[in-house]
Amino acid sequence: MRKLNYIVTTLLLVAISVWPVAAVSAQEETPQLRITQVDNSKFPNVTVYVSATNAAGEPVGVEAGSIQIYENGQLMQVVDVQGGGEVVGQESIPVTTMLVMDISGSMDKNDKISAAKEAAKSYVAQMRPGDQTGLITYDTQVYTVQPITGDIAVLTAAIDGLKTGSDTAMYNALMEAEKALEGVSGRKAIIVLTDGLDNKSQSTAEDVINGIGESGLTISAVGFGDASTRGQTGLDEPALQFLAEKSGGVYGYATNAEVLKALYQQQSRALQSEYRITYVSPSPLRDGINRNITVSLTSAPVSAEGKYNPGGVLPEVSNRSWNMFGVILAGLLVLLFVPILFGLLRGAFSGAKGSSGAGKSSRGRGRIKLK
Amino acid sequence: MNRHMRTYFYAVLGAFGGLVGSWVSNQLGLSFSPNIYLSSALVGALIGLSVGLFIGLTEGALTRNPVQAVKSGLFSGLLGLAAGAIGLPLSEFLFQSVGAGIVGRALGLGIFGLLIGLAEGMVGRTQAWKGMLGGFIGGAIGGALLELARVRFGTDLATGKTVGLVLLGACVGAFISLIAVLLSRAWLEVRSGKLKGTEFMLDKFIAKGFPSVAIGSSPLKSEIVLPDPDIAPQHAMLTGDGMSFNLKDMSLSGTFINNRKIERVQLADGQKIRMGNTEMVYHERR
Repeated sequence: MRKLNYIVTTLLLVAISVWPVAAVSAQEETPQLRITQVDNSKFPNVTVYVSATNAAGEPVGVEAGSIQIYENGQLMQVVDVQGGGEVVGQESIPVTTMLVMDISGSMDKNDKISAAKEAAKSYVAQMRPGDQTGLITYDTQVYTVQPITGDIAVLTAAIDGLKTGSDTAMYNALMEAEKALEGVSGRKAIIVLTDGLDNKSQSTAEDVINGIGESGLTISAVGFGDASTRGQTGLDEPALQFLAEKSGGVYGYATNAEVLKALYQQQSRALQSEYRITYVSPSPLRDGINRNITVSLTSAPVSAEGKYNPGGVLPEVSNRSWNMFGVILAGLLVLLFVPILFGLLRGAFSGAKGSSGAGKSSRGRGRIKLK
Repeated sequence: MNRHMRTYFYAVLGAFGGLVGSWVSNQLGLSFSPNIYLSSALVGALIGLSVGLFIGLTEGALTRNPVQAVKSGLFSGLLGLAAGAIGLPLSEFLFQSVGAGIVGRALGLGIFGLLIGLAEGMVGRTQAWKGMLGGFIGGAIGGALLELARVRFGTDLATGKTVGLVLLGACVGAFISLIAVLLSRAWLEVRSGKLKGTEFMLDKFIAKGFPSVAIGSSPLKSEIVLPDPDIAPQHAMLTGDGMSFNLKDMSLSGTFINNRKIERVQLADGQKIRMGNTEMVYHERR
């Protein structure tokens, strides 16, 4: 009996001591889902990239089998799920990133350019086999400093060689980055760093969002400066947030080198821990109608929403019957011939009525003139 | 045939073009190529060809000039083909950029119509921008109706698309004619003969330095053809000076302005022209 009491007491003590920690831990690890990219370039195959992070933006492990995906409310049969990265001890999905960096004159102040270089190098250092990165910089002009490559040493040397210039043409640089990623398949990301307002671009933020192709990509923006200052030295945070929100990326703000480096490293970890889910759309016609995607987990009450459009301003249709064609054709033939028939009848009627009148005299007048 | 009927026939023949284009598009779909823009280019080209061909035929058919009908039909069809091949991928891009929906369909098909209208405006006897405006309005109405019918009345896409393309073709045709008529600066109205009521738009020829155009009975020798046995194959020449026209007689039987035989004259608004047994009135709007 004493032995039984001892066991029960011990179990209770253990339960009491462990429970709060377990509860807090579960609460902390409840993931926030976010659909980062929808690639429908191989429609009706649709590939959805999902990020699972905690509130601080750090990746959270999710059991691949618990991921469910819905198109327009209908549960889809998942063809393939990959990714998760080190958090769940799985392979990461390859990521192609374009680092877009501000090298305007203001980046010289407080040696921000050095901090930016360090942050970019720390991002590149975290690349895994299969990952690729490119480097585009901008001041008044846009410079493709390093085309996309998987070579970390080449990228590091390219970053080290950066020098500052004059004004800021960020949107032009982003358009260039989109162009550079156009032919790349898989998970694509742009991470753009800026310390000021765009004052030189011909392109706009809307142009940048419109330039994202059907394979999708995310634009994560990092503001490096004083967010409270508006003007040439301040940041246009609403525009950066707009870019991030519309493209499925995130916005981060840094005021010093450490925070900036931490933001880049967090971006890297988050990208490397994403899941890639592929399914076949049950509506394989390109009908131009937006499709809503919902991703949820069976293990937690969380979900994320996204959408895509399969294209088809002139919709592809399944009904190819001749009936509709025949009916409209008949209608158009009636519309075509009724006025002609009416005109002929009217002509015949007026011709008969005036056969010895104006018509004849007119013809006669012409012949007399010729003679 | 008055100007209302001219617009009417343009609309009906444009609708035929849209209907044939819609049938072709339904048969091909958009999934025959993995790249939607490539598929759109081919489908757009065939729709443009169809609409262009039918609209091109109209002017010749209305003026009973089969040579012009065939020439214009083919030329206009080819230009429509090129315009459609560029227009539909472009409209697809715009459609997706604005997030689809009614605005996307209207804008997308408006641009598609605009490019086909541009091609038809270049072929027809009107300045190109009038065709563009007509094409845009027509395409936008067709696109908006397609989406509106689907969303509001649950009309199936096949019906909406066919009706939408028929409307697009009709509107392109109607607006090209209507705008050409409403904004025309100079035209000849036939008052007697087989073409009574027909109006020949002269805007395209009014520019200074534009080659003279012949009025006559031969479709092979004249641009403005009057089916009248008493009119010479090449009866008179019209030459634009930027604001108005000079008319030069080239016939044996003569050309008469307000019943006075002329050799060469600068035309003024309201003047009556007679060649053979055909009477016309010259109209000018400044």
